[in-house]
Amino acid sequence: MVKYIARRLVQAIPTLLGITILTFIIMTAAPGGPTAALLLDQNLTPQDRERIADQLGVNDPMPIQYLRWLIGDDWELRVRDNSGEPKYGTRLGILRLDFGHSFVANRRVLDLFVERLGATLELGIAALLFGVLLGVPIGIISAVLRGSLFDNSMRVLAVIINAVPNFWLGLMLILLFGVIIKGPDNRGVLPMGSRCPTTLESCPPLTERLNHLLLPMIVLGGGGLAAYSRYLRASMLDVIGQDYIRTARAKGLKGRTVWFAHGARNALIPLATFLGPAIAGVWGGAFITEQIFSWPGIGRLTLQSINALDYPMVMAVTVFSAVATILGFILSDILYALIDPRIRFN
Amino acid sequence: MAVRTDVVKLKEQEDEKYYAGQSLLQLALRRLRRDKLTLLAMAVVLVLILLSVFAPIIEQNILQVSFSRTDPNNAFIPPGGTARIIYLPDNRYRTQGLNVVVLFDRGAGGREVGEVHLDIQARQLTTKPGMADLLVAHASFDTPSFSVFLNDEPRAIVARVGVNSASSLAEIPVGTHTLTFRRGTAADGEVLYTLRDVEITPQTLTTAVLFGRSAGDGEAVLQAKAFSVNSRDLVEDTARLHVIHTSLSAPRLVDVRILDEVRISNIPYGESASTIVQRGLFTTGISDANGRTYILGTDDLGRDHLARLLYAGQISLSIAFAAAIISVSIGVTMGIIAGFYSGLIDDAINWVITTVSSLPTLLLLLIIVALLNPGPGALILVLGFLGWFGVCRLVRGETYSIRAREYVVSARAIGAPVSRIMLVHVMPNLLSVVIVAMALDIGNLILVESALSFLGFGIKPPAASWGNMLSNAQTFFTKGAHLVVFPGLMITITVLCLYIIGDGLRDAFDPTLKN
Repeated sequence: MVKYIARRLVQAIPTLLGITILTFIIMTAAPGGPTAALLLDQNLTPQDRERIADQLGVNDPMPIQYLRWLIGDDWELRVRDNSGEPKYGTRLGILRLDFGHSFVANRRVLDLFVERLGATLELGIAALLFGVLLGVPIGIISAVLRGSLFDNSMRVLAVIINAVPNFWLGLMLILLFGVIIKGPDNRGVLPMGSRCPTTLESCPPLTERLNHLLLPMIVLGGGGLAAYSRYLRASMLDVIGQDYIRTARAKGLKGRTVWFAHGARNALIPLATFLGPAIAGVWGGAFITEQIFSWPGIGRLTLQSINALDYPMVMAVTVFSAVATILGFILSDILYALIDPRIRFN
Repeated sequence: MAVRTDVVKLKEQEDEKYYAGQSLLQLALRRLRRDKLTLLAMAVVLVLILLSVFAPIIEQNILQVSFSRTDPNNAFIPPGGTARIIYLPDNRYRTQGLNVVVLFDRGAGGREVGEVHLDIQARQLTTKPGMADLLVAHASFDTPSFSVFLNDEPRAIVARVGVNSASSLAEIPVGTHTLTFRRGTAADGEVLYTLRDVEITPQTLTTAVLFGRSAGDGEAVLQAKAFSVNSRDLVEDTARLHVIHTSLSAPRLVDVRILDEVRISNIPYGESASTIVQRGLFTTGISDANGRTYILGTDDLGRDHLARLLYAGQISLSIAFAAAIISVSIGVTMGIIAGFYSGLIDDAINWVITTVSSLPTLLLLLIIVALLNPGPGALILVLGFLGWFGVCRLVRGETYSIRAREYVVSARAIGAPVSRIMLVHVMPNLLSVVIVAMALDIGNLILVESALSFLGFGIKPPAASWGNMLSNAQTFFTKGAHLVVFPGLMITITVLCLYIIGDGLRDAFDPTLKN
């Protein structure tokens, strides 16, 4: 088991390395490069420019720059001082979680990231739960009632949900519940966005602002809901066809016991493999959902950073999302191996 | 047991009858002809493509898009609404009269158009040398009554002008003046608007109009303007009609009709025009150019929404189709190579795919598009070059299994070159997979492109795409919900149809399915 996990982790290394290379290439190959904005300052003399470029190391060969970004430059003596004294660099490199300073906010990227993480996790977990808790029962019931009106309408609905652009779904829900359907105070029954009531100084606990969470959760979890229900339906149909189900029925067990105690339990096993794609899906949808609902999470921060060409921030986001996705996939493989005894660790 | 064998044999014979002499494509077409849903989806997509291709012609014949505008708050016309806004029957034009009509917004939301109509006789106008006439009209529905002060003199020249009314004529000296509109009658009342540099020339009638809306329904857009009209040529048997357009709700260009004849056309918002009319009883209708109906209404700039949707379809569909062709070509090539050679090449391609797919597609696209800022052509390339991974995986798997089939093995055994095996033995067998992947790919690309354009990357205004038509949707929630509904509906319908087509083709190409 340990060997299996270790192997999966080792396998992830080339992928991660690839992501860092890709990110680095995109950023440095962009017109002007990451330092163009910094060097645009009118007050700088050509010597100043040269000195700053030297300090940033943008005149060095690409592979060296990449290494510096990856592992830092505190091991390297570089003549980068006003007095001309050789000094060690100060960067630690992304492998030691130093993503540098944001150009825009002028704060450590990691701090900004951690600050926004809570909001994104809150929304993401809610969306995942929404998808699983609704999608799984729908899938099981669809399989049990195969060919019924319920089954067919759920299948049609799943296809439609896949075809609806999620930003439009968000807009329509806001239009419906935030504008058209009015509450007693002549405003929409649900707020049009944001994580907390804007009238309050600080965010109250989650239980008091569930109305703010509801619509973004539906928009972000909708795709997952459709996927889980279809997947579980297929998995359940597969299980129902197995011999042990027929045996259980032949022994005269009640239908309900057979479906849920024997069938659903086994049909749920493949769901573990869905964790990885689910994390990736929720993370990928977070950009748009957070933007529409003014949700102060990482997705919105990312969009702002991309808009402002805040390179350190954008590079950090790509690395983080790759790590999250890869870990999600590894985790789901391990989970699957743990739950299903038929999987051998080799 | 024997019975069972017989049944199997019978079935096989049936299969043979079904498959005999039919190519996979013919079978697929035969199955497709029975699949009503897929045919319907194909028809819808075809209609959409045709509509978008012929959008310019349709627009000239029926829709007419106008890209001119005079005010940002102008002219939402709801779906099915016409641009004809007001009808004034039976205005009697007396000879030697001057009729001033001020169009303005009335009602709490400023949704209706009202008018202040004044009939002034030539003999009422001043004849004193060095003096001219000033008329003040109140055309801002939710503003209290006001007085007008000339050059900050303590006494108002015109006092207490109420809503929907005009003052009587005031004589003022010729020259350049400053008019101050104050709430109430006191000389130190709240200033509503200060109108500077009003030129008063002899033998003209100047109408100073306070118009727009005060804060309450969004932004305050209160302003005043002076419109002057010649009063010299009021001769026997004719009258002059002076129309001042200050209505935000009215179409951006207003026509004045006398009976059915258009006498003044295209008065923009905040401007006026005048015409000489014959004496008598006339019916005056005021409408936009043709009083035409907008099937899906107009947008915030007064542009026909349906025409914009068709143009957007042109862009969205062509980008999706072109990018899909690029990505499928790359995907098929890479997939065949990876599946056929396995080994190191396979590993390398696999590594690229796993690496790039560990980032959300949208994130990667957003970054690249933000950095390169591509036009529509470059956007197609970016989407195409980043969209081939799924197809590649699929084709790789298929190729891998085809490679082990007997006909490929025998082709290799007799020494056929690799290129021939790939083109003649592998490619045709990939056709079904590729066609299905293509249909789904186009659907996904429409979603991706619209998301990019929605976020302000991708296609940029004034070019229309279904995504960027929704960019400002949140500001239209209360004023024009139709602007939020239709672009998204177009995306959904198109993508849904493409998904249905993909599914239908998959079934049609599957030889194990019979019905």
